Amino acid sequence: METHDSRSFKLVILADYFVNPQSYANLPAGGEVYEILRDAGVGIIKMPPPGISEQSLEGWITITADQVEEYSKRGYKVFILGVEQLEGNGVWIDRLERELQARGVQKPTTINLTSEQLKAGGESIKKTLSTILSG
Amino acid sequence: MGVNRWWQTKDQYDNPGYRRHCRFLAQFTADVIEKYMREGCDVVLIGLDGSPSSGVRYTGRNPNWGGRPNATPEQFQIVPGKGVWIEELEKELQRRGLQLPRATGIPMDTPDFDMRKSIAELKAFLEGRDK
Repeated sequence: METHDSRSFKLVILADYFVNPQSYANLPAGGEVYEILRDAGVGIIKMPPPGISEQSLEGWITITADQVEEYSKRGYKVFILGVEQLEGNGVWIDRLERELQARGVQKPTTINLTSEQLKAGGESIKKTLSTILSG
Repeated sequence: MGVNRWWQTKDQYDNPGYRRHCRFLAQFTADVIEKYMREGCDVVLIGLDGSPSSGVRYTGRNPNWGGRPNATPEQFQIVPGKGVWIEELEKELQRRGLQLPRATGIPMDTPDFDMRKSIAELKAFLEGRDK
Protein backbone atom coordinates (compact mmCIF):
# COMPACT_ATOMS: atom_id res chain seq x y z
CA MET A 1 0.00 0.00 0.00
CA GLU A 2 1.27 3.48 -0.86
CA THR A 3 0.65 6.47 1.38
CA HIS A 4 0.16 9.71 -0.53
CA ASP A 5 0.73 13.30 0.53
CA SER A 6 -0.01 15.73 -2.25
CA ARG A 7 2.15 18.32 -0.47
CA SER A 8 5.59 17.53 0.94
CA PHE A 9 5.64 14.62 3.45
CA LYS A 10 6.77 17.22 5.96
CA LEU A 11 5.09 18.17 9.22
CA VAL A 12 5.90 20.97 11.65
CA ILE A 13 4.77 21.14 15.27
CA LEU A 14 4.25 24.88 15.54
CA ALA A 15 3.98 27.36 18.42
CA ASP A 16 0.60 29.12 18.66
CA TYR A 17 2.40 32.44 18.15
CA PHE A 18 3.02 31.74 14.46
CA VAL A 19 -0.72 31.49 13.78
CA ASN A 20 -1.98 33.99 16.36
CA PRO A 21 0.79 36.62 16.63
CA GLN A 22 -1.71 39.32 17.66
CA SER A 23 -2.00 37.60 21.06
CA TYR A 24 1.70 38.13 21.86
CA ALA A 25 2.37 41.76 22.73
CA ASN A 26 6.15 41.37 23.07
CA LEU A 27 6.71 39.71 19.72
CA PRO A 28 6.33 41.09 16.20
CA ALA A 29 2.88 40.89 14.63
CA GLY A 30 2.44 39.26 11.25
CA GLY A 31 2.05 35.71 10.04
CA GLU A 32 5.07 35.47 7.76
CA VAL A 33 6.37 32.15 9.12
CA TYR A 34 3.00 30.46 8.74
CA GLU A 35 2.70 31.78 5.19
CA ILE A 36 6.17 30.49 4.24
CA LEU A 37 5.35 27.03 5.56
CA ARG A 38 1.95 27.02 3.88
CA ASP A 39 3.38 28.07 0.54
CA ALA A 40 6.06 25.36 0.83
CA GLY A 41 3.33 22.74 1.30
CA VAL A 42 4.40 21.86 4.83
CA GLY A 43 1.71 20.41 7.09
CA ILE A 44 1.34 21.98 10.53
CA ILE A 45 0.06 20.98 13.94
CA LYS A 46 -0.42 24.07 16.09
CA MET A 47 0.18 23.79 19.81
CA PRO A 48 -2.41 25.39 22.12
CA PRO A 49 -2.10 28.97 23.42
CA PRO A 50 -0.59 29.66 26.87
CA GLY A 51 -2.87 29.66 29.89
CA ILE A 52 -4.59 26.31 29.45
CA SER A 53 -5.08 23.98 32.41
CA GLU A 54 -2.58 21.31 33.39
CA GLN A 55 -5.12 18.61 32.57
CA SER A 56 -5.73 20.10 29.15
CA LEU A 57 -2.02 20.44 28.47
CA GLU A 58 -1.51 16.79 29.29
CA GLY A 59 -4.03 15.91 26.58
CA TRP A 60 -2.34 18.18 24.04
CA ILE A 61 1.10 16.68 24.80
CA THR A 62 -0.25 13.15 24.47
CA ILE A 63 -1.98 13.74 21.17
CA THR A 64 0.92 15.74 19.72
CA ALA A 65 3.37 12.99 20.66
CA ASP A 66 0.95 10.52 19.02
CA GLN A 67 1.17 12.51 15.79
CA VAL A 68 4.97 12.85 15.91
CA GLU A 69 5.29 9.12 16.53
CA GLU A 70 2.86 8.09 13.79
CA TYR A 71 4.04 10.47 11.06
CA SER A 72 7.73 9.74 11.79
CA LYS A 73 7.04 6.02 11.55
CA ARG A 74 5.36 6.51 8.16
CA GLY A 75 8.33 8.31 6.62
CA TYR A 76 7.32 11.94 7.10
CA LYS A 77 9.95 14.47 8.12
CA VAL A 78 8.77 16.00 11.38
CA PHE A 79 10.08 19.26 12.83
CA ILE A 80 9.35 21.38 15.90
CA LEU A 81 9.32 25.14 15.43
CA GLY A 82 9.25 27.42 18.45
CA VAL A 83 10.21 30.90 19.60
CA GLU A 84 13.34 31.43 21.68
CA GLN A 85 11.76 34.05 23.94
CA LEU A 86 8.59 32.13 24.83
CA GLU A 87 8.34 29.85 27.84
CA GLY A 88 8.95 26.31 26.66
CA ASN A 89 9.59 27.94 23.28
CA GLY A 90 5.79 28.13 22.91
CA VAL A 91 5.65 24.39 22.31
CA TRP A 92 6.13 23.05 25.89
CA ILE A 93 9.37 21.61 24.58
CA ASP A 94 10.48 19.93 27.83
CA ARG A 95 7.14 18.16 28.27
CA LEU A 96 7.01 17.14 24.66
CA GLU A 97 10.56 15.81 24.67
CA ARG A 98 9.94 13.85 27.87
CA GLU A 99 6.86 12.23 26.37
CA LEU A 100 8.71 11.33 23.15
CA GLN A 101 11.66 9.96 25.09
CA ALA A 102 9.35 7.81 27.23
CA ARG A 103 7.97 6.32 24.02
CA GLY A 104 11.41 5.78 22.49
CA VAL A 105 10.58 8.19 19.66
CA GLN A 106 13.46 10.17 18.18
CA LYS A 107 13.21 13.86 18.90
CA PRO A 108 12.36 15.80 15.73
CA THR A 109 14.75 18.47 14.47
CA THR A 110 13.93 21.51 16.56
CA ILE A 111 14.32 25.12 15.44
CA ASN A 112 13.70 28.23 17.51
CA LEU A 113 13.35 31.63 15.93
CA THR A 114 14.42 34.66 17.92
CA SER A 115 12.42 37.87 18.16
CA GLU A 116 15.27 39.60 16.28
CA GLN A 117 14.92 37.19 13.37
CA LEU A 118 11.16 37.64 13.42
CA LYS A 119 11.56 41.41 13.37
CA ALA A 120 14.02 41.22 10.49
CA GLY A 121 11.61 38.97 8.55
CA GLY A 122 12.10 37.90 4.93
CA GLU A 123 15.43 36.27 4.16
CA SER A 124 16.41 36.06 7.83
CA ILE A 125 13.41 33.84 8.52
CA LYS A 126 13.81 31.81 5.33
CA LYS A 127 17.46 31.17 6.12
CA THR A 128 16.57 29.83 9.58
CA LEU A 129 13.81 27.69 8.14
CA SER A 130 16.04 26.32 5.38
CA THR A 131 16.38 22.96 7.16
CA ILE A 132 12.61 22.54 6.90
CA LEU A 133 12.17 24.07 3.47
CA SER A 134 14.97 22.20 1.74
CA GLY A 135 15.17 19.02 3.81
CA MET B 1 -6.36 4.53 12.91
CA GLY B 2 -3.20 6.30 11.77
CA VAL B 3 -1.86 7.50 8.46
CA ASN B 4 -2.22 4.12 6.71
CA ARG B 5 -5.90 3.56 7.54
CA TRP B 6 -8.23 2.20 4.90
CA TRP B 7 -11.29 4.13 3.86
CA GLN B 8 -13.90 4.16 6.58
CA THR B 9 -17.55 5.05 6.89
CA LYS B 10 -19.29 6.60 9.86
CA ASP B 11 -20.86 3.20 10.54
CA GLN B 12 -17.34 1.82 11.18
CA TYR B 13 -16.10 4.76 13.26
CA ASP B 14 -19.28 4.67 15.32
CA ASN B 15 -17.91 2.32 17.96
CA PRO B 16 -17.23 2.74 21.71
CA GLY B 17 -13.43 2.86 21.39
CA TYR B 18 -13.34 5.54 18.71
CA ARG B 19 -16.02 7.59 20.48
CA ARG B 20 -13.99 7.38 23.71
CA HIS B 21 -10.92 8.65 21.81
CA CYS B 22 -12.98 11.53 20.37
CA ARG B 23 -14.30 12.41 23.85
CA PHE B 24 -10.68 12.60 25.04
CA LEU B 25 -9.82 14.96 22.16
CA ALA B 26 -12.98 16.99 22.74
CA GLN B 27 -12.12 17.75 26.37
CA PHE B 28 -8.93 19.65 25.68
CA THR B 29 -10.09 21.04 22.34
CA ALA B 30 -13.15 22.47 24.09
CA ASP B 31 -10.85 24.10 26.68
CA VAL B 32 -9.27 26.17 23.92
CA ILE B 33 -12.62 26.92 22.25
CA GLU B 34 -14.03 28.05 25.61
CA LYS B 35 -10.99 30.25 26.27
CA TYR B 36 -11.37 32.01 22.92
CA MET B 37 -15.16 32.39 23.34
CA ARG B 38 -14.70 33.96 26.79
CA GLU B 39 -12.14 36.37 25.28
CA GLY B 40 -14.83 37.50 22.81
CA CYS B 41 -13.37 35.87 19.72
CA ASP B 42 -15.67 34.89 16.84
CA VAL B 43 -14.98 31.17 16.92
CA VAL B 44 -15.90 29.15 13.84
CA LEU B 45 -15.56 25.46 13.18
CA ILE B 46 -14.41 24.32 9.75
CA GLY B 47 -14.82 20.60 9.28
CA LEU B 48 -14.27 18.21 6.40
CA ASP B 49 -17.62 17.57 4.77
CA GLY B 50 -18.24 14.02 3.65
CA SER B 51 -15.85 12.72 6.30
CA PRO B 52 -17.12 9.92 8.55
CA SER B 53 -15.37 11.62 11.46
CA SER B 54 -14.92 15.33 10.69
CA GLY B 55 -18.02 16.06 8.57
CA VAL B 56 -20.08 19.06 9.69
CA ARG B 57 -22.87 19.22 7.10
CA TYR B 58 -22.32 15.90 5.34
CA THR B 59 -20.84 12.60 6.39
CA GLY B 60 -20.11 9.30 4.66
CA ARG B 61 -22.00 6.12 5.39
CA ASN B 62 -22.42 2.54 4.30
CA PRO B 63 -23.63 0.05 6.92
CA ASN B 64 -22.37 -2.84 4.79
CA TRP B 65 -18.67 -1.90 4.85
CA GLY B 66 -16.53 -4.08 7.09
CA GLY B 67 -14.32 -7.12 7.08
CA ARG B 68 -11.80 -7.52 4.28
CA PRO B 69 -11.51 -4.33 2.23
CA ASN B 70 -13.09 -4.78 -1.20
CA ALA B 71 -15.07 -1.54 -1.28
CA THR B 72 -15.35 0.85 -4.22
CA PRO B 73 -15.59 4.64 -3.91
CA GLU B 74 -19.15 4.86 -5.23
CA GLN B 75 -20.35 2.75 -2.29
CA PHE B 76 -19.36 5.63 0.02
CA GLN B 77 -22.72 7.34 0.51
CA ILE B 78 -22.67 11.08 1.21
CA VAL B 79 -25.57 11.88 3.53
CA PRO B 80 -26.50 14.97 5.57
CA GLY B 81 -25.16 14.80 9.09
CA LYS B 82 -22.09 15.16 11.28
CA GLY B 83 -19.15 12.79 11.64
CA VAL B 84 -18.32 11.02 14.89
CA TRP B 85 -15.58 13.43 16.04
CA ILE B 86 -17.75 16.50 15.45
CA GLU B 87 -20.66 14.85 17.31
CA GLU B 88 -18.46 14.19 20.33
CA LEU B 89 -17.04 17.74 20.24
CA GLU B 90 -20.58 19.12 20.15
CA LYS B 91 -21.55 16.96 23.15
CA GLU B 92 -18.55 18.24 25.15
CA LEU B 93 -19.42 21.86 24.35
CA GLN B 94 -23.07 21.24 25.31
CA ARG B 95 -21.91 19.65 28.58
CA ARG B 96 -20.11 22.94 29.32
CA GLY B 97 -23.19 25.00 28.41
CA LEU B 98 -21.55 26.28 25.23
CA GLN B 99 -23.06 26.21 21.76
CA LEU B 100 -21.29 24.56 18.84
CA PRO B 101 -19.58 27.46 17.04
CA ARG B 102 -20.87 28.56 13.67
CA ALA B 103 -19.74 25.68 11.51
CA THR B 104 -19.17 24.65 7.95
CA GLY B 105 -17.16 22.04 6.12
CA ILE B 106 -14.85 21.89 3.15
CA PRO B 107 -16.33 19.00 1.12
CA MET B 108 -13.02 17.32 0.29
CA ASP B 109 -14.49 13.90 1.01
CA THR B 110 -17.17 14.20 -1.69
CA PRO B 111 -16.85 12.98 -5.29
CA ASP B 112 -17.54 16.33 -6.97
CA PHE B 113 -15.19 18.40 -4.78
CA ASP B 114 -14.10 21.67 -6.37
CA MET B 115 -11.42 23.53 -4.39
CA ARG B 116 -11.99 26.93 -6.04
CA LYS B 117 -15.74 26.79 -5.45
CA SER B 118 -15.21 25.58 -1.88
CA ILE B 119 -12.81 28.39 -1.04
CA ALA B 120 -15.33 30.95 -2.40
CA GLU B 121 -18.03 29.37 -0.21
CA LEU B 122 -15.70 29.42 2.80
CA LYS B 123 -14.93 33.11 2.29
CA ALA B 124 -18.67 33.84 2.10
CA PHE B 125 -19.19 31.83 5.28
CA LEU B 126 -16.43 33.65 7.17
CA GLU B 127 -17.78 37.02 6.04
CA GLY B 128 -21.35 36.02 6.99
CA ARG B 129 -22.55 36.24 3.37
CA ASP B 130 -23.82 32.66 3.34
CA LYS B 131 -27.05 33.39 5.22
